[in-house]
Amino acid sequence: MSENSTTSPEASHQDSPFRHELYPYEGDAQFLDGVMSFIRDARAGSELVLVAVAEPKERMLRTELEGTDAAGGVTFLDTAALGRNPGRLIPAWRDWVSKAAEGHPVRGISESAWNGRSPAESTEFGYHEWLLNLAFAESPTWWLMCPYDTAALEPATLEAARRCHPLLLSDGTHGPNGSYVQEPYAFPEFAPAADHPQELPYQRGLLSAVRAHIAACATRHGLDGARLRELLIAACEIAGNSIKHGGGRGVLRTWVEGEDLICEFHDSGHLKDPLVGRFRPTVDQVGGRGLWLVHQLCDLVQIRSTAEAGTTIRLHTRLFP
Amino acid sequence: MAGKMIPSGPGWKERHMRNSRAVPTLDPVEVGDHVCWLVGPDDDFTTTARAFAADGALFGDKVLLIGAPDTRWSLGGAPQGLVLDPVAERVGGAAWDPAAMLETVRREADAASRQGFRALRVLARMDRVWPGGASPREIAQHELGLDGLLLAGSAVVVCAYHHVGFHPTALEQAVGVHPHQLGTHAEMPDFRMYSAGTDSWSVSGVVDFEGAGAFRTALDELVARCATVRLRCEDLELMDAAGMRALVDAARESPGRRIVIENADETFRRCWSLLGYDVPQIPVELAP
Repeated sequence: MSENSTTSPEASHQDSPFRHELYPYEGDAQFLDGVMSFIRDARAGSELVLVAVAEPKERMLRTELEGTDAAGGVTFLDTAALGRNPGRLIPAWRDWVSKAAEGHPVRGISESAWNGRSPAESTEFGYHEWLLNLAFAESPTWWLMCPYDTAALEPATLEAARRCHPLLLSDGTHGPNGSYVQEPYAFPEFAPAADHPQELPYQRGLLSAVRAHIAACATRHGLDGARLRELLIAACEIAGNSIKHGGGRGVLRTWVEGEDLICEFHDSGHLKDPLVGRFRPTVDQVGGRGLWLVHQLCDLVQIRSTAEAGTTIRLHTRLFP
Repeated sequence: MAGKMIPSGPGWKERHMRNSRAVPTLDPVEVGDHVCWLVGPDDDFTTTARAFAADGALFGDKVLLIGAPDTRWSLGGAPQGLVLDPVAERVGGAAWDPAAMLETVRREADAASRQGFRALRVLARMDRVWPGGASPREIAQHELGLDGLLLAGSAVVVCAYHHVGFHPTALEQAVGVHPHQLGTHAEMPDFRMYSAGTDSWSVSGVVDFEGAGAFRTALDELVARCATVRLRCEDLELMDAAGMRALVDAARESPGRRIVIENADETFRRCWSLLGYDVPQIPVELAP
């Protein structure tokens, strides 16, 4: 394992308190090289380190850290408890950082387990990476390194990651990422719905019909009990937003895709804040709880909204978790 | 009306669990029922009211008709009955208000019991009780109070709300604070709140953003009545973020009052926690 130097990023990126860094690597040895260097550098400066990686990588890091001085300030986080929805990661990181930091600098290491992700999940994870720059633009100082295994990931996934990270660790040097693009996230087109999705227009007074439509579809595919109730609450929130803010009406479509039941809501409203639903609401906050709850209750939430095309939201619920 | 089942006999009240339901006609109503009847322009109010009153004879009930403006209302074959018209009473100088209706029902239910009737059978035309209409809060106050009287199992009350006499939000409120409803109205709130004992109320159905306003109004009325409001939620199907916010606001905006949620399911508990409401500063407690 070679030793990387961990010089700070260029001054142009130090105006943001949040350092969001891509670390493309190939294979376990290079992973350990870059990540351990990052940890040792952090600990040398008495910075705390939060690590959110898949279980095999965690084992590797624990082995490397065992018996070293750096081990004491490293905390491994349980991202599995958050489920599959990347929409839960930003509030989780906010919680972790605020609890750990208490005013001290913090570094994070975040690597998602990409194996088994559906195309929709991969897209939303890429969007999550883009949203991190917005979410932590006003945060206390912290530094998040995102390792990406170039040997295991699709080129498109890596390309999306390069566009979302302002900083890059490459050849042992931290610096600006020349591929970073400061522009709205470029979503790929939604995958088309399955053949003949069931469709239901809704408006005020018809929320019960929305629930009945979804319950009938879900029950046919074996979804019941608490998971069905959670989906119905999420549906209430989304359809309610259509009625309150989205022109008073919308259209619901439901279908099954792979192992997911998908409920799609479309209305003419425009969600201007890309971070809506990504922050834990405070007790005294006025509004803004619905989409937060939806992100916590559904396995995946996809939101596409423009002033021209309106808002389309897809809720994914895994039928056989 | 031949062929009707007459609920009676020793211990029937104990066996009769109070649950919310919609009834297709007034024929199957039972003692203890509190029915909301939204009377639309196509409903034959007089015929239905007359049949309901006539059933008093079949079941051995004393009949009380409130709001009978003229002789179109008939006591039919009821063995004994009273006809009161709040509008006429007011013209005569009496201070007849919704509180007077409650007192009349209480008094006549006691009298019916003493006189050997099975129960008091009441049909009230609410547009005669409130000739100028009523606010949702006035309706919640009146109906929740009346519902408490019915727990004693000595009366059955049908409250007829004519569409033309009330604002739509008032009608929504009326539906939400009756355990029973004649017919179904898809556009109405999906929750029902009704008395379940001293300072205890059942909430059934769904509280979503469309019903959250009526739910909040009903809660405001309950927290004004008692220091600790117990809400039994075993028949609650769902409550969304707007419904939970109504609970929080109703409890917080009445200092010294608290709401205890009983029999909440795991989904309610999870959402409550996710919304950050499981903190001491919110005077809403989820009973274990």
